[in-house]
Amino acid sequence: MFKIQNGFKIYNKNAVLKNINLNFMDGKIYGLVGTNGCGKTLILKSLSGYIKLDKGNTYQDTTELRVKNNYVVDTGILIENPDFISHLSLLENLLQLSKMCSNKVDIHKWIATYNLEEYKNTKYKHLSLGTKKKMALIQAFMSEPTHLILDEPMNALDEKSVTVTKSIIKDILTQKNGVVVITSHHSQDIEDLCDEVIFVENGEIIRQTSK
Amino acid sequence: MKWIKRHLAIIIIVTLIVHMLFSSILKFAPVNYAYRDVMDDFFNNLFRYGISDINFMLVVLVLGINYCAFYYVITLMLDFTKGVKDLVRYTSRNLLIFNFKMLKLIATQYITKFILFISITMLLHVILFNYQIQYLDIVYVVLWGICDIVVLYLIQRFIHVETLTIFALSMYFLMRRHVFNFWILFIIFIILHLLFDTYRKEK
Repeated sequence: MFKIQNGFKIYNKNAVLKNINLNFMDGKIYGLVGTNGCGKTLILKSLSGYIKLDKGNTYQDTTELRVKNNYVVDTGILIENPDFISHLSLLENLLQLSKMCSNKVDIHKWIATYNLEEYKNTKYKHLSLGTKKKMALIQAFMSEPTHLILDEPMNALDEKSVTVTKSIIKDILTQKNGVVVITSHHSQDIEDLCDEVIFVENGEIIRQTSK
Repeated sequence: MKWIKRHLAIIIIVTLIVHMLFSSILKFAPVNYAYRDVMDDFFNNLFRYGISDINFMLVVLVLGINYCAFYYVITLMLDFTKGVKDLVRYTSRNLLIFNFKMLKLIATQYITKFILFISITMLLHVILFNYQIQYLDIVYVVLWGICDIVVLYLIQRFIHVETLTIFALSMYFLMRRHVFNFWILFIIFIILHLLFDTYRKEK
């Protein structure tokens, strides 16, 4: 379970998040919807402990994030477009990351899932946008986490990869019964995946609807 | 086979470049050059010379030799400013583990290039100048490696802009020996920094 309580974030004297109160319960997929710059990604950053709120708190279960050194645990995170090491190949990058995971990771299985065998020895800097996105998704899924925080996971993906990603998200939820939070500009993705949809506008939650 | 060919080609190219730059340093160095200390030669920096002896060519060559040898380490340091750190962070459950993982990542990426560079330079010295490698040279190299890793860690920890990273690395390459003399202080600084971070967050 994740929770944001009375969350405020201020940049240059402007409140970009205003009084955010959200509860994300286990076993559900939540979708954040809103226009560009409305604060969706900031909410995800706050949930993953990537930023500290100026006012208010973020919790994972009973643990307060960004306090006492705590980051989120057991959570696959994809926020914006993370960069990998440019001079390493796709495989080397993912192997490097897999070594950092606490559990054993079968990278080759994930490479096969996203049909990336052809590019596994290509340097990251030479990969296409879609392939980079697939790598970012693999790093989020590879440790088979209980929870997922995904910022526009379907962007830049082809139709087949979108289907694969949706099925992985659903599988992880079925197996682990955790929390999945995604943002998307595609209503079809939200429609297909989400149990609850949260509408964000100008840094505020304006509506929350259940399926 | 392809892998061997690729690495062989890299080794030959690096050897040639290092040798070329090294010979140029010998040519442009304004002091009498002795081959007494093998490490001094590639550990070259401006502190070796008097202020009046420093010339533009020497600065370029000292930087050139370091940038050629540690090209991939430098690109890694630049990647850190772009967001590679975030990925490491996603796999860490707290700040302390994140810092250790960053240190480990830098060390693993650096050591391979460092060993290649040292081996080539030592080989050149043995072949060209008939230098006898001594036990203390090895100790010196190990300490130099530790010092480099510590400085690289500190740069990624405190500098988040590409241009400043390049500037900091260049300054370090030019003043490496000076920094090296205080490497133990850097180790203590890192330990204190990690402890202080933990204490601050706990509080």
